[in-house]
Amino acid sequence: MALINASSPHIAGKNDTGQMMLQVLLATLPGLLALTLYFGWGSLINCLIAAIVAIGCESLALRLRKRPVIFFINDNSAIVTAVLLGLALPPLSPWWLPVIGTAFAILVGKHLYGGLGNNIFNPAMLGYAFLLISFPVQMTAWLPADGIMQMSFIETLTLIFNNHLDPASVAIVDGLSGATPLDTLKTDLGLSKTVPMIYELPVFQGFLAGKGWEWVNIGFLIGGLYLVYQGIIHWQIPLALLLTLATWAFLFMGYDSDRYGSPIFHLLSGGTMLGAFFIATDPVTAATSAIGRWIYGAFIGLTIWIIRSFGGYPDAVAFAILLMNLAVPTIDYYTQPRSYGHKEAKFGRGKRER
Amino acid sequence: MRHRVWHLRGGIHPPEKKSLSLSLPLRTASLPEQLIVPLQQHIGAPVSPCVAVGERVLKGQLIASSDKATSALVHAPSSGTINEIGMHPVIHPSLIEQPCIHIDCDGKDEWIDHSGVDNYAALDTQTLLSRIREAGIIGMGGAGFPSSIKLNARHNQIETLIINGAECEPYITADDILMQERAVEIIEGIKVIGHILQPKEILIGIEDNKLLAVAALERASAETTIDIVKIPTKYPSGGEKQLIKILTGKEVPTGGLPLQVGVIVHNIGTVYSIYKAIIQGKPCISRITTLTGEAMNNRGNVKALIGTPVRHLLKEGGVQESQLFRIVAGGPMMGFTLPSADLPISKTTNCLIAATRSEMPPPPPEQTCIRCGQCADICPVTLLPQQLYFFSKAQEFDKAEQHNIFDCIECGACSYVCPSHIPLVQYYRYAKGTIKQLRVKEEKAEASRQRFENRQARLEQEAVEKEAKRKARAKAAAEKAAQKTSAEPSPQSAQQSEDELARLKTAAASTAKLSIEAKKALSQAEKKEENSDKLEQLRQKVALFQANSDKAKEALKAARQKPPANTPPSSKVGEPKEDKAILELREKAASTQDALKQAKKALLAAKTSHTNDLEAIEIQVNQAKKEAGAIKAQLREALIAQKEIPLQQDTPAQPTSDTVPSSTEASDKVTAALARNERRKAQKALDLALAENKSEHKIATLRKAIDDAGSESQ
Amino acid sequence: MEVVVAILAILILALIFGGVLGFAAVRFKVDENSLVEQINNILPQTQCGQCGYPGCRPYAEAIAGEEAEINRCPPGGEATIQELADLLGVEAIPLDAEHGEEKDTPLVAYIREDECIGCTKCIQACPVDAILGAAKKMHTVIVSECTGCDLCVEPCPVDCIDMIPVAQTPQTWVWKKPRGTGDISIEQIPTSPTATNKIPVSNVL
Repeated sequence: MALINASSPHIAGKNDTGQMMLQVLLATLPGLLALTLYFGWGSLINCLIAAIVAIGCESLALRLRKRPVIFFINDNSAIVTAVLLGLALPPLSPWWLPVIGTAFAILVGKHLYGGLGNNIFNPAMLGYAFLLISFPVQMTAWLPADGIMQMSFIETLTLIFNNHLDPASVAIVDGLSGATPLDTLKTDLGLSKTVPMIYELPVFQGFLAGKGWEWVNIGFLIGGLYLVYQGIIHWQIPLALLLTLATWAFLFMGYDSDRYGSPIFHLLSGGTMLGAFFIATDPVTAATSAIGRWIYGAFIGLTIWIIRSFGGYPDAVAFAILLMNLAVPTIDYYTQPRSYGHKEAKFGRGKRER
Repeated sequence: MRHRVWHLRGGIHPPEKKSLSLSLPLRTASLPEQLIVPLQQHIGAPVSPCVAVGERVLKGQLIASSDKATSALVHAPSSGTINEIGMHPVIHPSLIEQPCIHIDCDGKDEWIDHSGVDNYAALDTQTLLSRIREAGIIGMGGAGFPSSIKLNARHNQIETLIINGAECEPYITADDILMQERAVEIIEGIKVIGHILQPKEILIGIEDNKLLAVAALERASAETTIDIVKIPTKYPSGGEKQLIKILTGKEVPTGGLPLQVGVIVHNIGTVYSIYKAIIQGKPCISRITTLTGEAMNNRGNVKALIGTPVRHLLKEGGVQESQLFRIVAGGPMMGFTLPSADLPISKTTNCLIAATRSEMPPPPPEQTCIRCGQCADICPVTLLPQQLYFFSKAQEFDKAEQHNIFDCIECGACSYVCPSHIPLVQYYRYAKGTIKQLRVKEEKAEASRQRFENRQARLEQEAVEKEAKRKARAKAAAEKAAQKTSAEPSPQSAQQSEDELARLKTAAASTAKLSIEAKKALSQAEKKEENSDKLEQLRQKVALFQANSDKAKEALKAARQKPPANTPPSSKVGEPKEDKAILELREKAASTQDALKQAKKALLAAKTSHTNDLEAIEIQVNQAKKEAGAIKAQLREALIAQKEIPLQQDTPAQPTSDTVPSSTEASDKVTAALARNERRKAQKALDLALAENKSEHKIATLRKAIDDAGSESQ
Repeated sequence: MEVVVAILAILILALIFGGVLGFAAVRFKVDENSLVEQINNILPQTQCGQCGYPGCRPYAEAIAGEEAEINRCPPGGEATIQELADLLGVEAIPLDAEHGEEKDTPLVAYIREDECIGCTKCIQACPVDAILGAAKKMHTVIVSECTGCDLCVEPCPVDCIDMIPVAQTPQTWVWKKPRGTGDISIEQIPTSPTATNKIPVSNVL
């Protein structure tokens, strides 16, 4: 009888990377649904374009690095990156925006660092930041939350692909675009309006926060909670992030409610929930130990709030996450857990004395 | 009484699959044809066989032993004949062959005489421990550490005795069935251990999926103070350190022993063996092994003899070879696969899983780590497995050690949960082994460096000593040489002075000759009565030559007075005075000889010229003869004496004694030589006399002289 | 006036900081091994001379003096090169094959005692005094001290020294490193006992 020789353990759990990634994709569906219902087909199309480009770029990169292509594509990480980036882009952004963004995210943000598991920065956020800095106009041209019926699928598709080519299309897009709640807040605060006055604007006429935007964030919250329940992400990061953000917002709102937004507003605006549950929890780029995760999440929350209130960009999730990605090795250095049998935790990397 | 249970961090809940092997009661496996008993089943000092090939042994007979306390004795599991004592592969991942004793079973299964004790409480601790050691009992939970050493604790040192009935690994039910069916014996065994250790409390930790076992033990221990504690089912709560944490809340310090927190843990199987050893007097020769796996039809627990080949047990369990894909010895989490079924089981083999392909499929290929952190979530030791993985893979062993890789208990939970199917535990095993290897290498390098430096130091020391010796010798040689130059010149100057002497001799001889010729010429001229001018010329010549001759003679005399002049080669060192004496004698001899010669000549001349002073001249001649003779005698004596002395001395330039003639020989030689000389001279004189027609009287005198010389020369 | 004040201020600051640094340099001086010592501690101490230097310390000195490359030590192998690279902050280069190859299994010398004539030439050659013996007496290798440098093989006039691999015992055996990411597909997993982690059996008793 021919017997296999393998090392223990001889049984394995049901966990699988590819399956985990698919679960993440599944969890984005509520948020994507909200986006489509309020802002039209654009986000869905962006996600599709990004996904296709992502798979193409990943295959190219793997071939260049002489790795087995199908094996690595099967871990679905490229698609997740693409979808997250697609969700962050404005619905009517020209087709080349997700293409460039995804290509940058996959090739530079992921494979240049050594492929899955070796990147320091979240690739989706890297792509987003790159696009934001390179193409600020297109990246800030959001639609008003007028519902899915404002444009048909075909129309959206045409606009996306003709956006920069056809002056007529450009005019339509320009005519349609509106600012996000965060954008409005920042601009109008600069115009010396007070927050209560700003809240009167139509863009803020949702029942909790910005119209449409609150549902998007609630959608992502539901998805995120599902992931926590499944054990795919760690609850410490989103909780720390949201708690810190809310706390700071609350404190400063108490200090001067004319100039600072409310906690609910901050929690349900922009990419807060998407960032908290899907991007900050990206295991590759997040901190390792439990205490580390708390610190990481908390500082992201704080940074989001600071940049939103005092910084130049309306939405700060991408930058906050990128900044804290930089800090992860230091956080890991100082937050090793105490192991069984040791009196206290060690820290540092440990170099032997010679 | 409810005993508090602490929470164990992490852990996993793999499918238990224990019901597979619990459908049948415990049965005894059939006797195999051959038993291959490994000699090194334990951690500790090796044992050596104490039987010979061909010998018949009885069941329970001692077949391998050692004096060392850390050894575990081996006994024959059944009666039979020793077939072979040699190397055979055993159940060990390395598959390196180990010494084994092969026994051909004769089927009789005949026990050796044995007896237990009725009252173990009457025996003292040392006796009980030595009996346990003699029974060859080791930790049967898997570690294999000799139990007698583990039980050898000081009194009042143990607070808690924990009996490990957790059996947390899936598939294994050996301990479960033992607890169910031998509960009374187990409690007895625990009492024996309790008597040895005198702990404050005794706990049996059992997972709550073994309710039947709990019930059986509770019944058996109803009258005792032994606590049966149910713990939540979780893998790996049955690990020693984990169980201590669950039952007592204490943590064993890293790198330390449970003894340090006052706890000792023993496996249920070990307890049962101790019972058999003390109460029944039977050594450890069998164990309960679970035969399970979906490729087996008659799954269940068997009491198997140590050394039974796996093939036999698989047959016992009814294995379907066509379905068999993997054989695992041990549990699915920590056991290892067997490449063949011909390996023998040992005292620590608690389970054999015959798995089908679908049950334990081949491991999927390793993917990249996505740092999901699930491994860190479930690690019971609170390590960071992903960091350890990165460090082990990159061979950054310093960092791995710093992240406490040596605290890893290799439970395999991290590999179980890894979504990327990374064999994490395998990396840690590799890293730990390599780190240990590197430590050994380092120590060896340090020792080599030490030896090398010591060797260098020793060689330097030797060189220094050699140099010092050489200098001392050179110094001594220089001193001796200096002494020698103050008494005699160096060999170099001796040679020179000899040359000088020769030169002077020839000079003296030649000038003497010239002066004699001149004198002759003068006398002839006077005879011929040449004119006065010529005579005057000739007289001047004679005077000049005479003066030269005298000068040369003087010089020769002076040179002869210097030390090494005529010394023979054997007498260089230490006899200047004697040489001097001899030289003087020689000179005297030479001069008297000269005088004699001249006197003789004068006599001859007088005789031929018929002068009147013939008698006076004759008297002169006689005197001269006497003198010469005396001096000669003296010289002879001196020479003899001198030649004797160098023969006894140990001089460096002296050739070996073989080439130096003996003293008497030498003196004889000298005497003979001198005598011969005399004879020759006498002969010459006679011939001359005969030729010149001398008087008869003269001729007779001369003949007599010859005879005298001849007799002397004998 | 301000210029003077500025200059004075800078001067005073410089003095203060200089004083602090000087004090710290003396008071908190780390007692470190010299570079040669540190390099020597990394080298495997076989004193075999394969690097071209008469022993490990001269090679360490050469490395410290930047006369020699770090890739000349075959007994140390890749691990040593890596450590030296880390210590010196230079790039790790592959082992220079000119100086020999890294051996997989460690070797020790073995003297065939039937043929030994007791000439002590090998004893003089051994850099760590691992051969026991005296003139006209039997020579034998102390296995635990032998570093496998094989300097003793050449001087032997009757060629009675062999280099044999050290026997592996279960105590010295270690697991091999797992293969790694994506290297084998499911089809390639072996189904017969020739798989990844098995070590060939060597039974030198």
